[in-house]
Amino acid sequence: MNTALKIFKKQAFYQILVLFGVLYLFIFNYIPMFGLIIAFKDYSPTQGVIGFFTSDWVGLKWIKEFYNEIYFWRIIRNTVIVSVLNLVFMFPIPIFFAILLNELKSAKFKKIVQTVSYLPHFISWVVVSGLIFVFLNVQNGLVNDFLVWSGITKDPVSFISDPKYYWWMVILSNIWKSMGWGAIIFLAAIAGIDQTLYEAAVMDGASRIQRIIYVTLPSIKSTIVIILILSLGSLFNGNFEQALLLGNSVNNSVSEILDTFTLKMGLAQGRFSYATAIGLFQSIISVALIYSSNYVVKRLTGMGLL
Amino acid sequence: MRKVMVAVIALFLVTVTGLTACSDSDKKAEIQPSQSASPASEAPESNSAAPVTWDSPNLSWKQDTSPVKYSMYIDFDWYSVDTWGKDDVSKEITKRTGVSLDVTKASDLNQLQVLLATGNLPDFIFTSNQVQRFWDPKKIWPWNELMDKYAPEFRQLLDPIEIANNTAPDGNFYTLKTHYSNDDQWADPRNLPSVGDPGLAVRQDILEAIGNPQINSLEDLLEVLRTVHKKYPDMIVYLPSKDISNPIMDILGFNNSNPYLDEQGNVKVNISNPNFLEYLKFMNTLYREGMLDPESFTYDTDQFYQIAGEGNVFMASYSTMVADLLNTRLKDNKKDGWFVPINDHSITYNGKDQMNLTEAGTGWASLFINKNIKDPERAIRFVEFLKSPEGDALTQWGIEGLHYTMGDDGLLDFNNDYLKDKPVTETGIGAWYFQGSSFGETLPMVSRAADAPDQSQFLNVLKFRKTKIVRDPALSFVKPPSDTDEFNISTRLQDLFNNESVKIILSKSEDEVVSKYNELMNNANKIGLERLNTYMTEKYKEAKVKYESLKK
Amino acid sequence: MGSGFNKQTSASRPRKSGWLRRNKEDYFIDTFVYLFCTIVLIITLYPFYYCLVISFNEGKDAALGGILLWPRKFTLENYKIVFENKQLMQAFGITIARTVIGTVLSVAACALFAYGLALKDLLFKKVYISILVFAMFFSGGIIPYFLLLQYLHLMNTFWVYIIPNLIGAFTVILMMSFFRELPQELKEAAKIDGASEFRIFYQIMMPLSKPVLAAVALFVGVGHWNSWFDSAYFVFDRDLRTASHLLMELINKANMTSMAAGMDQREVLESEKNFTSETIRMATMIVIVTPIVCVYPFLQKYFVKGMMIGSIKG
Repeated sequence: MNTALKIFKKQAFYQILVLFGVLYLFIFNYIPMFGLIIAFKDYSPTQGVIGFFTSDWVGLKWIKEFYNEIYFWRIIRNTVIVSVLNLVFMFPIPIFFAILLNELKSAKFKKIVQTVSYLPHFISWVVVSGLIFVFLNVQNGLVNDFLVWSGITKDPVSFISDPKYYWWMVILSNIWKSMGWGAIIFLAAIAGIDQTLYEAAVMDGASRIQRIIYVTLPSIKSTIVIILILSLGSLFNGNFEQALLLGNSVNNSVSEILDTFTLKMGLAQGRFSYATAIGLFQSIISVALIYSSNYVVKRLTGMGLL
Repeated sequence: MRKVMVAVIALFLVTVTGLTACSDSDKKAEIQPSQSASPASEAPESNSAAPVTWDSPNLSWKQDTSPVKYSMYIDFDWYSVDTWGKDDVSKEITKRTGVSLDVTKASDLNQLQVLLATGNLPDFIFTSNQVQRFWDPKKIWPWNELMDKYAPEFRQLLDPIEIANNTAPDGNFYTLKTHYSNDDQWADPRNLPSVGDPGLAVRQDILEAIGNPQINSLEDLLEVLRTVHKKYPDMIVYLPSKDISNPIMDILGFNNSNPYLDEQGNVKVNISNPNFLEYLKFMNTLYREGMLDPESFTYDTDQFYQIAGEGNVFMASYSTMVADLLNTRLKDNKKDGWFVPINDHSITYNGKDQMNLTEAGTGWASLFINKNIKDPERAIRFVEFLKSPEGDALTQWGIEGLHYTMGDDGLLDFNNDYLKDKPVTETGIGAWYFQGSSFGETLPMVSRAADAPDQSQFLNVLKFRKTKIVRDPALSFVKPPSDTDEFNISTRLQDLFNNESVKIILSKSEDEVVSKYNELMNNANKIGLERLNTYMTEKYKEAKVKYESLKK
Repeated sequence: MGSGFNKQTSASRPRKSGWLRRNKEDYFIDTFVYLFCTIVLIITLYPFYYCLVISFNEGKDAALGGILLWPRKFTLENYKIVFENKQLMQAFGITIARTVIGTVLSVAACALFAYGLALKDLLFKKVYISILVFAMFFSGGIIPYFLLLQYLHLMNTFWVYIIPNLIGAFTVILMMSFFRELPQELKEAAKIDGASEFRIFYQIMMPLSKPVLAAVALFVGVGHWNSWFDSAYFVFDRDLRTASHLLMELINKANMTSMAAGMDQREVLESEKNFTSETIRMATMIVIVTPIVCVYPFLQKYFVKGMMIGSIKG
């Protein structure tokens, strides 16, 4: 204990910084968490704030109700599939893109590509879904016009409605939308690499590919690891807006995910208890994923979040 | 004691309704408040009660017009205006009543619920979402109390059926829903159903090209569609819309969202209707024969019009105005073709007209007054103004003289020179309809249509529908309130319907339609279809008794 | 110090040494890189360009569809309407203020927190990080949060944009991971020289962390710029609204029908009546988004290689 106190005193500057942060989190994140109890209660907004405490306990009623939803497994499956696909593509592609940008020799061109590639981040999914219509619709969509005109397909393809193409649309639109944005953090990491490492590598006769593999990648490993763990933690959180706007009544067997379901059957109906219960379920899984992926990643790389 | 009072009031109200009916027939008198009530309406008056009419000079709202400001929350994120005092109409309302509003428009679905939960409700709340949560005398003023206290004559001016329509289970009424027509207004030939009702239109030019066949049954229609498909293989034979319920459902006697009343007098969820399967089969036939593109179930309004306006669609369905809007679109696009509505006459199925347009017709959005409002007296009096024919005319038609004049034909003549290209944010016409009637909403549309006959085919559809509509206000009591199991069942069934019906329509064979339909019904039963049907029928019968007694 | 970096172009060092032996591999990689980047350039630029084209087109004409490369009926009318919107211009002021103030304060707060956490043998480190992780994934929902802000008297003030957004768990974790990589020898050396902990943080460690600070500032800044939720929920004063809130309203107006919540028939019709034309929506979007888009090129100079060396030597 005494040694702990000693260490604490020695670290006083750091401890104070952290404790301020923790205090902040306590106020703005942890105090409002009392709201989570309504996941186990029968709460209605008419009961006011006091209803958080006075409403009836219902135990796991909402979780059970969710589990008994006709679409329960379908929603879980869709959420996981979309997330896994996103992880498989969306995690490595920004890294790849950042490295590629780093290999660009013209500084001006690099700057232009860098800036332009992050533009789609600012275009809302509403606009994106409109663009998808313009390009992919069956009646006069450009892509379909081209496919039919060139004879690649005989009939236009129902990209928008056919569930078969939904995953592709999700992945491609996601890549398009967040590749440049996601690359920023890796560009920052690459910028921090000690240049003498490259010089040494060149001296050793390393080729460019080798330099990427043996200098660039290891140098940004810690960033990669952190982003990987955080993305694994978000595995159960789908891209809500995307699912809402690219999903429709024809492809909803694949497009409905937890987040859209919660909005539709919970919040849109004013059912706060139900929505909170599903949200809590999601949070617990996320945190469990973070800790387990941290454990695994640390085993493998020696680096981790904790 | 209470019962006797109620009986006396009811009796009194019946008399008064008789009066309003008379003055109703004389619309001109109503919209000109300065003009005293026509003697015709006073003539049959033998009762000793004071002859209160909407034109009486001593109505409560007229007594105090000093400035007062209230906050107002509008729970519709698409609402056309959100600033008070910038447009002609809101300025005029303030001029006449002294009331001005500090408006907040919703940006998000849950905002109002959060305000409700945290006790931050503004003075007025205008919403159509989860309204039962506001039926709470601790949070919201019951209008009956306010009227009795501050505007006794207001209640006498109301139709007792309208009060019954809005009466909550605790016996209070917390609002009078907008867009309601009482029986007299409904009887007015100028009044029509909502243009948002489903419309079905076909290309007349193409119909003529294939020999102008009559479409008097769904079977006829199918034949026509097949012929068109054969003759014009590149044409989109049928383009439905996902946002407005499908008119073919109407033809088959049920519709998208409302429960329906069956012949035995039971109220049931739409999917219980045996014709639901017929609808699915019909649509599936169109799909399998290549006349219906699955993608059309994904188009939003813009996209729907864009596709349909290219001139390559034979039949399209949207609101009743679909034919007129598409004709305009074709013209803008410099394409040939002319759409005509076909659901402006009876279309049979299996040799029988199946259309069943029994609807509640009790109105739409609710206006609530916060219990903590600082000046409830002025608030209810403001409502009285809004509810009066004067207020209704001002909010929905504009300022008489400036925006419109009343024609001899009972229709409005709009001052188009003044109104030309002015957005609603400048004129304020049709924007502040917190107590607007459906008559008030319809008249401008009917009036404008009279000036542009080539763009008003929708009138025929509406007129036909009006002959078919049976108003049964007891139906408005079947909807289960929020926070009940029945409510959750109803939400789930709606979701099931939305999720599955399109998928069934896109089946590979009719057998598949049937098996998927059975699966759907199985799931519906698992969710609690029967329970909800029983609940609704019970509520309906309870309400029916109430209305019967009111009639006596 | 800064001028030193600017002169260094992104590829100066590798190029010098690679120049002499520009081999097949180089050709191949360069071709691939240029080709790939050009494709990326086109497909990421086009949608923005498309919005621009639509925003310069006449409204009724644009609704007919089929506009892809240039305006069919060119007009500046849409922009005129946007710029005449006083509410929007007011909102712009608020948005700029919250973005600048919010970003500066938030980056500072997160950096301090993360710097503390990045200490190698920090006592209770696991507990602290767990607190961060839980804060990231658990939330009590909107109602308790609303109450908290009300209790703190932040409701309906400008500060509701700043204070509740000071510390983001994701930002802190990200910065922490960067700070962990900083050369600890420098710290030791400075300590021996008698520098205080804060001075080490401020004068040695932060300048070394410019790339991550720039990246995080961009994330936080863009987050502030795009944020509409706090403006919609916690601010009733019309003059305090943010530009993104207005944009969101405009875009939603036209798209509520496609939202999951569903509308009744009347609402569908009403919303259609009050529909803002696509051209004006696009013009508004362009006007609102352009300023923040232009920030990135200015931050890019902090992403230049060789910073570490320069700093250590300097």
